[in-house]
Amino acid sequence: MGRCHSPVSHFGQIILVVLIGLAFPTSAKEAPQPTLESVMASLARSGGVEARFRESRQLTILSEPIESAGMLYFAPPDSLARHVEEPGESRIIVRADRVSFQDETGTQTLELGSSEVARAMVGNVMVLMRGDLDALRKDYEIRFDVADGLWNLDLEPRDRIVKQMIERLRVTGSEGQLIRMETVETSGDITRTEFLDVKVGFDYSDSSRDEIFYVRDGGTKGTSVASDRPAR
Amino acid sequence: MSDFALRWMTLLACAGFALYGLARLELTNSITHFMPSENDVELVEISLQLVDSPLSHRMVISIGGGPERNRVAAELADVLRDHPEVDWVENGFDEDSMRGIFDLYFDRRIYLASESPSVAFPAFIDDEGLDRAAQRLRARLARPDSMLGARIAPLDPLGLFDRIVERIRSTQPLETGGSGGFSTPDGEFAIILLGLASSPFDFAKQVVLLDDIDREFERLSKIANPTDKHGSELTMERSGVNHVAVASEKNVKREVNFISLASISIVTMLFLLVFRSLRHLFIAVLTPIAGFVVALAVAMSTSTQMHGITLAFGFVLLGVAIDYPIHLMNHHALSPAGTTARQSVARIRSSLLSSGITTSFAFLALSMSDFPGLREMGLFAAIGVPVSLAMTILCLPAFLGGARAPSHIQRRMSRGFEALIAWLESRFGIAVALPICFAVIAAAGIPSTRWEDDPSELMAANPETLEESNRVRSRVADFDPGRFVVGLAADREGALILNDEIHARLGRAIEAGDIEAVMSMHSFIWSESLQRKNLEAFRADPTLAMRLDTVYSRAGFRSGSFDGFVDAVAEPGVDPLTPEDLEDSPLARVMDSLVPLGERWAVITYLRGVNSGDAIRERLIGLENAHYIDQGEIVGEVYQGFRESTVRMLVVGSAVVFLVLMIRYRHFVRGLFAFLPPAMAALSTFGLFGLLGISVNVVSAVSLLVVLGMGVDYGVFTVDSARQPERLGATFSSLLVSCLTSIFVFGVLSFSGQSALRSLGLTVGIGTTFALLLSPSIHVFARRFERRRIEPV
Repeated sequence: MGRCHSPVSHFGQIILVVLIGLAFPTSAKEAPQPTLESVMASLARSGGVEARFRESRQLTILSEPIESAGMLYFAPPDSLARHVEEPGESRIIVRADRVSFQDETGTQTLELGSSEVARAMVGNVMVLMRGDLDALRKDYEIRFDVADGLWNLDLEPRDRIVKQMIERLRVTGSEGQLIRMETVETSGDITRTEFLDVKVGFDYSDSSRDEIFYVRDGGTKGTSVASDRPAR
Repeated sequence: MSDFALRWMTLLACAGFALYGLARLELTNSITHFMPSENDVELVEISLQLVDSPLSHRMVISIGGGPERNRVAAELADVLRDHPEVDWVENGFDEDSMRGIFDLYFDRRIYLASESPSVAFPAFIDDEGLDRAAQRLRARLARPDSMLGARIAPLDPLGLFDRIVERIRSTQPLETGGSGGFSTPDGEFAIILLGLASSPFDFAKQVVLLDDIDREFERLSKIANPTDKHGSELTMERSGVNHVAVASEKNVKREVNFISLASISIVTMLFLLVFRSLRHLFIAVLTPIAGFVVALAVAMSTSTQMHGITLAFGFVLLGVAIDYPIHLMNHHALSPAGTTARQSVARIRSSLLSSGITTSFAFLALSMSDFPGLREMGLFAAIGVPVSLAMTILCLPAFLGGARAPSHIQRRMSRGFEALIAWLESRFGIAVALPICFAVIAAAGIPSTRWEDDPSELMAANPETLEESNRVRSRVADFDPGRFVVGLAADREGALILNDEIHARLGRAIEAGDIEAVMSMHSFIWSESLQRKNLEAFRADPTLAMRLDTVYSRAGFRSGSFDGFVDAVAEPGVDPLTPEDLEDSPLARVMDSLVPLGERWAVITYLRGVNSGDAIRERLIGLENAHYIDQGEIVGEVYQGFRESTVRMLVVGSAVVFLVLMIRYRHFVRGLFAFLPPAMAALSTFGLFGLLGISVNVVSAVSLLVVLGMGVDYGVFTVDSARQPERLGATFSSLLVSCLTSIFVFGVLSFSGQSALRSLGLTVGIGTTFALLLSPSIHVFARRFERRRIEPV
């Protein structure tokens, strides 16, 4: 008998990762009138990325939104990290087909293949970062428009299960750089993320990769791993 | 009746008995056949039935080594689902399965809130408890993986569903890995679990299954990596009772085939050398076979089943009974020309009868055992030996015809023994020294004899297979299929009620470090009564809804957000979780731990890392119908009891042999002389084992009884030849051929890798050799005694 993973952790982790992924900035290459293709091409050229984020999560059951802030990192082709600095410290690390979540209660690791939602959405995050428009279109209905000098990417999931959770995603950017992202869930909950101090073209050293893209040694929970850092 | 008619009648009768016995033969391998008391029998029955159900019927396949392992595992799982020898396959949960599990438990979260509601609820739902839950929920919602958590929070503000998930999660170490398949926590191995449709000990079926798995894995690996000429880097390893059992049985069969071929070849050569005739070999073999088939037919006419060990013991008796035709054929060959076979029989009839009857009584002693299996073996021998004896005396003359000239070898052996005895008579000191040497060996060695009471030592499993199995088991942190706690009840609900308490007590055992972990149904389902107690506990507090709203509002939640939860407490909408619900869910395998056992239901909790079986038993004291079962321990106890009973029967058998010999010879000294070869051979054999540090086991003890039975022949014929010196050469050459036959049949087993076969071979081989070596000295004593009686000083 296999282990029953909490759909809570699966869905939640992956969706959030998607949100993070969508937040990657593009290179600040000037384009008089951006098109979907030119934005995706910019994303493909963006290389390593570092950005500060601020997030507001408005839940229907809460009187006040939950605020958080921290750093986002991306190292091509398939490493992604979200470090929350306040309130409290936590990390989400995506490397290839594994996702690790770490907070003060421990570390939990799962494979993307464990969930259709996870595979579809995180896979698409990577697709987006690589600027693979065809693959993105396979999983999302895409609407692209430009208004007041900003471009907007509206993504509506095609997958039946993902669709049950997420109504739509809206990513806004300017001249090849992400500014904000909004996720509207079918429950009415809305998450808004703003990106600040975006730096692109990062080439992470081995030591900085070790620091950023691996969960720290520490406590575990569930079937978690103490550390996913490879032996050197 | 003519010899021709008698021959055919004999052969037809043998065939008839064989057909009757084999047609009715129904073998059993139940260890309860070798249990002394009813209470123990019940416990062992329970353990056997249960061990033969869930975990021993499960197999784990581990695939590692390459990036395509998950895909190959998924494809292999799909192929195996259609295999006739596979009952079920699990290799992960897809999204629909996860959804099914969610639906199964989320709606019943209120029923599954607390394992001890009467104790836990007051603190769980008072204001402080609610405040703690509210803070936990807030923190949970602040986490980045809270999307679904936020969605279900209005219906589950207390986090009841998370508690259920955590309980289930604690039972298995497997991850749901790539492609939705199971993998080890480090992600290095894809895992497939499968259930066997047949017994793991059904050799033929398991060989087919294991071979098919190998073939399919190889095929899929090549498809996965067609460019690699050397095949894929993927490696497959397996664990399972069937895997180990098949490897062991293959080992044993290979060895037994080789040994059988070697034995048959050597014995055939011996008969050709001594008797210059294969017909004599046929006659010699026919006699014990006749005894065997008659005993089998009689046994099957009075009983519906025969134990496999009894049948194996019957084959061993062939070695005992073959001595009678050897004696007759050799004496007949060395008889004066023109002597008919019946005249030859008449000359040694008295000795044949004495040794045959004494041997029968020796084995009959086993029928006094309190072990049904030993009684069966005793009766089998007590029928088979006299039939072989009767066959030798009544029927074999019809097969032998008139005496032919003895072979060169027979003549030389006969003359050689006559010369040896003459030499020994002239050196009485040497004749005396020989038995003293054996007595010294017995006296010095027996106190050092070491009994091996671990039955697993009897059959050597293939070490490579065991290592492979252990590697796989450690990857999936498998539970011990041989150690478990079982609760028995009249119905399923009764079993689940008992299981609730068993789990509570084992939980305390884990806290105390008596065991590492348990795998219990309790992680998945509680008794209906406990589930209803949870609902009642929520409903018992009429202020809960109001306080919940107040406390959670204070913690930052909107008022009224949790009305859905309050409604669910008032009207859950579903009944408590039942075994039927689980049977129809993706968690159906959980039900393997709740099985019918006769008219009762047994609920099983498997254990891992048992540090103290006694501590677990103590935890279960006062819990009626709950038992800790350690399969190895039980079998070990059975084995030790069986060994002790066998040794007791050996002593009784020796006494019976001595008594029968006294009655036969009506003289203490003659009786003693006849008794010395078997008795001293048996004692000095164990003495030699003690001196050489060879541990002995229950097979050695039973084999010693065979030595006693065979050794009596040496004593009787030796003493009788002392009164008929003209038989001396024929008698000793017969004994030598008998001894060589025994050595070639049994002695070669000494080289077996299997402890059971090695013990049989060593004991019988050494025992009969010792009996033969003692016989000349005993003859010298008996001869001297007879002379003194004729010519008193």
